[in-house]
Amino acid sequence: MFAGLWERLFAKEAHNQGLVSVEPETVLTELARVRLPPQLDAATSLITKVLGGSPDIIRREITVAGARLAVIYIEGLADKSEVERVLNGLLIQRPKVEQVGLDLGSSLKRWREAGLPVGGIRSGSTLEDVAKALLDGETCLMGTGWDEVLILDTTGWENRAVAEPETEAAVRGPREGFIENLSTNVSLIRRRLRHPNLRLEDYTVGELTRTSVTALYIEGIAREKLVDEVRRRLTRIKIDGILESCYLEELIEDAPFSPFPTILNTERPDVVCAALLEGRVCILTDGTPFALLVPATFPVYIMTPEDYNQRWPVAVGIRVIRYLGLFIVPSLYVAFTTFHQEMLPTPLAVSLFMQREQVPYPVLVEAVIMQTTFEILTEAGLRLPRPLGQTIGIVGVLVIGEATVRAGLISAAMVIVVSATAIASYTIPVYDMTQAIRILRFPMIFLAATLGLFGILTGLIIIAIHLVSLRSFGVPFLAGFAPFVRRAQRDIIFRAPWWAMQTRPELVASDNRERQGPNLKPKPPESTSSGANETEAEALGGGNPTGTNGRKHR
Amino acid sequence: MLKIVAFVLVVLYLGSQGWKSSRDIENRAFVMMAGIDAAPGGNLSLTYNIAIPAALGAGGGGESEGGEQEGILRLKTEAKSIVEARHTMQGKVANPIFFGHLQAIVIGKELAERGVRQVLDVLLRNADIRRKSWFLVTEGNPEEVLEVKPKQEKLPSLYINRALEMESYLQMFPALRFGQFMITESRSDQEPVAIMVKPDKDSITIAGLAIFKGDKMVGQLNATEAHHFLLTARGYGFQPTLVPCPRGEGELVFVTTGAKRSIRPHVEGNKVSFSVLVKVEGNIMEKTSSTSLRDEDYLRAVESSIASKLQRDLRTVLHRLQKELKVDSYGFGQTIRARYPKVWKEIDWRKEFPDVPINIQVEAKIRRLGMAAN
Repeated sequence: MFAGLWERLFAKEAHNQGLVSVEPETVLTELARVRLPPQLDAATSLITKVLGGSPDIIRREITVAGARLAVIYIEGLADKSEVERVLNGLLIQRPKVEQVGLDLGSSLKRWREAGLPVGGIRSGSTLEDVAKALLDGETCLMGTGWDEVLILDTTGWENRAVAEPETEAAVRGPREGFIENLSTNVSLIRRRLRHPNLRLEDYTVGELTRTSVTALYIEGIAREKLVDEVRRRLTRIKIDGILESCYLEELIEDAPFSPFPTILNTERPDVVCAALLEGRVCILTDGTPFALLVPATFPVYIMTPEDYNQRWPVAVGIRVIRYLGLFIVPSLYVAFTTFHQEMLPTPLAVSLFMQREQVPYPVLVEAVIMQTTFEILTEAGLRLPRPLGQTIGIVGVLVIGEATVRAGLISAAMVIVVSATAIASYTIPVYDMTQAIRILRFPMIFLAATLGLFGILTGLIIIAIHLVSLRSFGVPFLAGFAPFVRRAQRDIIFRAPWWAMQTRPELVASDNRERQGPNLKPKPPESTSSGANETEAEALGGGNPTGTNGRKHR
Repeated sequence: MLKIVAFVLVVLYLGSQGWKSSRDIENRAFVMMAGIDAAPGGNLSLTYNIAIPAALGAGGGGESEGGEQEGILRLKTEAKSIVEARHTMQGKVANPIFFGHLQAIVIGKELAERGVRQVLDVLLRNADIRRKSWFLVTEGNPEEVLEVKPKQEKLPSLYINRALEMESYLQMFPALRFGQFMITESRSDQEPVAIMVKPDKDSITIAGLAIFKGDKMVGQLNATEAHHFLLTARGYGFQPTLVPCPRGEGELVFVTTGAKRSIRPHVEGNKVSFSVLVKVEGNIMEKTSSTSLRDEDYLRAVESSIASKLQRDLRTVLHRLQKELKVDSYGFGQTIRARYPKVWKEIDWRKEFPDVPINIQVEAKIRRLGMAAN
């Protein structure tokens, strides 16, 4: 029976391989070899044929200056008003053109120069050019006798408005998040980084989806080697489709089997800009609001934009709390209750002892049941239609929190431990890292239940070894901790005030590391000095050179 | 593939081995208190207080029905050795006996006088037992201490632990735990003492200190004497001293808040003597005399009468320990051993100690008079 199953599975795989060999790319390369016929009718019918005669391909024929022209675009991809403007230009300007006496009908070059009312005009000659252009939302203008087609940039489709990112909300900080449109996303970044050195590199990934992917970096800050590596990894991808940046992430990451992510994703343009300023490279994917940032090191997963948007003493405290959240784990509870009862304070031990007495199964089973139930609840909460959310919340609270404890199926302590863990795990701001740590809890629970604290330590050591061995685009994953970088300590667990963070991350940025001038620490205005300074101080301090309160800090 | 299989096998093997030795918290018989006493025929009698979770829980749920239920299983056996006794008792309980939370070990006076070496040996050999457990001696049968039904706590052991911790928190009695006893017992320059408790129906009180010579109990001090002993030995002890008013009627109550004690050894040849200076600080907390305390001279007079009273008391206790019981519970020997190691090697401290001249001087200082204006 099993043999049959295997056979079927393998047979299926073989079949799949067969499918893969029909490269869609070959279709496009074939099209590249086909030049458009000069006859208008033949050309347009060929184009519609290539696109399968879809009803959303709009073909409009007009006669301008005695020449027959055709405009082709795909409904919904091209911006209708843009197309209208083109037609407008063609039809209404015609009399003017005729007055001037240009024979536009047959001269392609003239048309290009005459200035159609669109942003971008280029020309294409093969069927591939046309097909690609149409699918990108561009409009093709062709005429009888032309050997080339004019491709007019009319791209524009429905987009979500720029809104606050839901997964990375911030109390203080910009409210803008990326949307699904690549060019809007690029503009969101450009708006924040108005420097000519911001470099964009476009890639088209996915044979069928032909998704636009843009890599951004700041020349002179990002390491040349890093940019090369990103280029290399992006260009080697051959896949039918990229629907989300996670596809890319899995195809270019360094540790494909690790539970830990080695590429950071974010929905926030300000996070991207901060990363670019540190010398990282951002990869934007069309069709998703999630941008990828490389290289990513462990500490960046514990950072939030708010660490930098609120004053540093508060930010330090909050960041430390986040690190603490990492260490709240049910495995410790399991180890203490199954092996090391003597390590609990006596009153606590007695209390647990009483609670556990009623529970019919071992601590391990209890822990696994509760942890799994929690995961199920989380998952259900995510997938539920929104209006149902509250119902499930109540069921979760009442059934799992209250009834199970009352019925003596689960001890109250375990409920507390699991919920505390659950809450603590979501203090980690990046969802990917939260997931990684959630997954690792299970093996840790098993280790704790079989080997006690020794098991937990073994597990931690294995995780530590694994983390140390990880790299993200050439940068050690634990950069700052291991290898230890003294300067980096200003922005790992603690967050130094801005005026003290003079350099970019050492292992990430290139040699251009100074990020601010010296002595930026705010000081009271100087009281007595040379004449020039005095006037300046007076101007600033409103005539009182020592400041309004007359105090002097030196 | 082979690697993966091997890895899985190793993990499963280690896991199963570990799993076997794991023991959930409710599957342990927590011995909360143990009482050990001498029994006829050179036997030992052992009593364990073992916590019963079910009964403990019931008490929390409904006071009315389970009011009398104790939450404690009391087991008693007699045997030649402690381990044998434990073995017998293990047969009676469903779960493995666990000493990790043993709060107190209560020794009967009879056994203490016979010697506690055997008990110490077992306690030391057993890795479970905490050095933090209390090591108590009781006048009568230790069982009575184990049978105390405290009103303030569910488990008598927790009550005893709390009560004794409170004493040390208020500096009334030092935390003389098992670890401390053991360490002192093994010293050649000091003899151990242990707290003596007196059980009541629902409480215990500290009856004083049991004075040991080596592992044998040789005498005891009552609570007041114990305080005086502690003041000299450790500069320790929060205690009220009643002094008659030096001028006129009434009395004053002086409460020690702190003491500094210095032991100065004098060695001439092999002749050893000590001068001890105890500087006591404290507050006047009660007075029945009508004399105003605002008078500086009067305060000095009160101080000197406190000092002379305390000096008398301290000397009395010293006399009792040095001349009657002949044990150096104070640790005078330590100063000799530390400062004159050559002399220490030549003398037999136990023999020498009763004849060593020791002079105790007390100085008292009143720090506060309280809020009252006079």
